[in-house]
Amino acid sequence: MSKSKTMKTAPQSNILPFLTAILFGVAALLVIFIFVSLNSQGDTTTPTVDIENATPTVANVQISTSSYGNQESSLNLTEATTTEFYVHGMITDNNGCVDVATSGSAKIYFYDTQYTFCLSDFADDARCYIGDMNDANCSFGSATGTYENPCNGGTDTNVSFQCQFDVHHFADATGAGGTFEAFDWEGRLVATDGAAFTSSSSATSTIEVLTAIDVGSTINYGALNLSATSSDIGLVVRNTGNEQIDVNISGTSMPCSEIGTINVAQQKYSLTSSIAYSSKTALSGTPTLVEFNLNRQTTAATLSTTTLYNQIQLPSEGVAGTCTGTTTLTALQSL
Amino acid sequence: MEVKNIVIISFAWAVVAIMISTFAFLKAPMNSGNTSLATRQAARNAQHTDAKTKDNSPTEQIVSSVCVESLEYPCSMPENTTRPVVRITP
Repeated sequence: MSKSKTMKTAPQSNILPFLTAILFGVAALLVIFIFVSLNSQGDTTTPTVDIENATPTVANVQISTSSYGNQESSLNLTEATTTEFYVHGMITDNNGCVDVATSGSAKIYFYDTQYTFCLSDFADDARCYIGDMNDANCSFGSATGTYENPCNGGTDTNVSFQCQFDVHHFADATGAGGTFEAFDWEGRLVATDGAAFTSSSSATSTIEVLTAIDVGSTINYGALNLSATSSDIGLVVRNTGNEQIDVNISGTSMPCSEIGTINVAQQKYSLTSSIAYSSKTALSGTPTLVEFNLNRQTTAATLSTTTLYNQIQLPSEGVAGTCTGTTTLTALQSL
Repeated sequence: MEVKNIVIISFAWAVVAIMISTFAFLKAPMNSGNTSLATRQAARNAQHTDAKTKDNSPTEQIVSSVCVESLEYPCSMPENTTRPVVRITP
């Protein structure tokens, strides 16, 4: 009797706590599954490899007077015109040379190191020349040579790059005695890859002092009577070098075609116009320094010139016909 | 098992789940990205040498002329006006 009574009193309300426990357990497993599946990427079995971008490198930059030529430490300009200089170097990109030659860019600066603005792309005829791969005067290597190397694509990692610069005759003189002797001309090659990673390298040379002038054609005083004084005949003198100049002047007497010779001192000159003949300086057979203080050009568009005003006074007798002499001008660097 | 114990065990499971999830989250690979830009400027080329001084003081020589007017020898155009400038290279 007592046994069956016990069976009847078994608590049926205990099912609810078990159900609650099962629900919590399922919920916990669900949370674990969601978090693990969303965030545990490191546990995936798919193999991945990250190839990081390599920064290109630049080496063996050289400045030369010939295409892909050897480094030259001393460069000479040509008066009144431009002179070709070449800057070249080798670019290496371990991701392949196309990473620079096709996807990236290359640029060369050729400049006087005292003018650091050049590297901010402020070109200047006297001190800063800039070329990049889009310019006609710049190119990547197209053949194989001592310093030249084309980009062949694929696994090829090296390519050369060169720019030709037509440097004006008035470029900063960094050579001995030059105004900018304390500086150098630097050729700097900058290579940038497709991911904008960049590096550069450079070489330096010196541009020597160029002292030079260019003068007008002739001094023609025209036809004069005995004892007459000519008007001012201007002789244009141009500084065609890269430093300020003075000029040594000398002349010869003027033998005449029919009778006699005009003494050299009958010709006089001045750097100022409308100065009376008596106040001018007499020409001499001995070179005489005239302080022109004629500056060099600073831009290609504007020449640097001055005028020497000449006059002649004929003697009162003893000469006839056409009289001809020579005047010699020698440029000297101003001190 | 009492309800109280079941609730405690369930919370314990939840805490374990959160810890595992946090661990898994931290274990997930970070985006490594690219390294910072490296500046590789080679040492300045030291090939500069004291340059030779070039003697380039050019000299130019020009012709000057005048015609002396007289009845006996009337002036014609001076013959030398078209002669070129003579350049003397040092």
